[in-house]
Amino acid sequence: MSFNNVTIAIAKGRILEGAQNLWRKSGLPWPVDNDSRQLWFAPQKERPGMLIARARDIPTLVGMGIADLGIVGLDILEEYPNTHVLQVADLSFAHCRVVLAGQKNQWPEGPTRIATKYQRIAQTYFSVHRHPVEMVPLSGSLELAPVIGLAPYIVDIVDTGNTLRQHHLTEIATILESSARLIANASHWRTKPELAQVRQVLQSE
Amino acid sequence: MDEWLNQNRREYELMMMVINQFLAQGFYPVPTAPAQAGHYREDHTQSILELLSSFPESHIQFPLQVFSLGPVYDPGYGRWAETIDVEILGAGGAQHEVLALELIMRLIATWPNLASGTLMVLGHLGLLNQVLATESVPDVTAAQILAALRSGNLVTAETLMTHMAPASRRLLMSQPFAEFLEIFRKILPEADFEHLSRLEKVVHQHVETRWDLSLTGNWSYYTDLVFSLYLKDVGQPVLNGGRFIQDIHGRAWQGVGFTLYLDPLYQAVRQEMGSLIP
Repeated sequence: MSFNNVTIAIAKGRILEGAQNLWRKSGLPWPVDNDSRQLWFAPQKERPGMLIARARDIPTLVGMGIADLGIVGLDILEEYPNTHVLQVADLSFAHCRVVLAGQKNQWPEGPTRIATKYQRIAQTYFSVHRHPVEMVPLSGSLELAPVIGLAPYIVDIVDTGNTLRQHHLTEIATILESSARLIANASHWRTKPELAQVRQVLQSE
Repeated sequence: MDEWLNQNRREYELMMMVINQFLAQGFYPVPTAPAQAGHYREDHTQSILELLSSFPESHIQFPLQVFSLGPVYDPGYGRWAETIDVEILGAGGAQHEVLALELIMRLIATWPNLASGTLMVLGHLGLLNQVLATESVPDVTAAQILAALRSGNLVTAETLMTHMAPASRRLLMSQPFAEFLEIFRKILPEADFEHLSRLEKVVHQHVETRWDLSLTGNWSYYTDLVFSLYLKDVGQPVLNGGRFIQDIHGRAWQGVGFTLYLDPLYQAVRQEMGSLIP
């Protein structure tokens, strides 16, 4: 199998760490030097090319066909859906949850504010539950929002829940169970048979 | 600046060339608005059919061949795409699938490079439903599988199909017609292979084909054949389409339609345009 014609975009952070393990277990050479800031690795016969980018940019890079495949969390795919992207495998690492949390383990009473970086996921969730909410868009340090009085509830991603506990916050409901997903450009997936082979290699672990 | 102006000029020359081809083949233009009720237009079909529905049914002669042009908003790319939307309307059923593919192939035959640089993928919702019924998949689960495929979620679709025969699941992989047909004959020996073979023949004499039942089209109104013409190595479709039934104010419209995306079409044929346009 040759990977000369395949490029994969991988999200920075936990996804990249998990991808490195999966890559090595699958017998593919890992091109990234942890001490380097290089973000682009051209494809070679023995491994696909690699692009390292911010998680929320991965669906765009794949949807535009810049990368054939991508590895990114389900939370990002749900928050930034892209009609040109197919979800082709659950890679079963980087497990985490998008949760509703607050200072008390109590469902909001009446209209309330929700601080979140997942506005779409949160809005959909509260629409389903027919509960009126006002979104406060934040890009980080969400757990501060209830502490400083910005919003009594947050919708955020948690792994172990330690950060929430440190800020005296309690999980009220799990909105989404997330894990790393292999995604593909819809056109490339249906026209490049080698992409299915990459999926097979990565799923063999 | 000259280069930019000339490129724009050539893109419009291409659009006019395609429009003239449709006019010459008896298609009528239908003007549609780019936005309705606060929503950007993502598809022309609904607007075309709403306009046509304002005429009494007795005044319409079928098959009716129409097209509409103008940009549609593509939320996937977050940008507007210049398109031509073509509809063959009437109760022609499967025969209209052949007509639509023949029309597309006549268009493709205009540009030899387009034929060699593209690949058509064909799916079929009617056949997918037959496979799910043969596998005794409950209606609720079948609807979930279709919804997952429409949203591009193969993970959920494959999970819901875990209990199905491996051969049935293989139909969700893009493959050449011969392989697709071989699997299909085993699963659905009663299916209309003659029609499938005819569709394949119409397309394959011009462009490479693959068949893939995970292709369900962008819109929920598709009922049977769906197809996408992809530019190899570019990652964008040149056209998407399929056979549909749409209910507009109580009137059921059926036909086959497709949307032609002019930007990727231009990318594919720009080398050849000099020799085709005086």
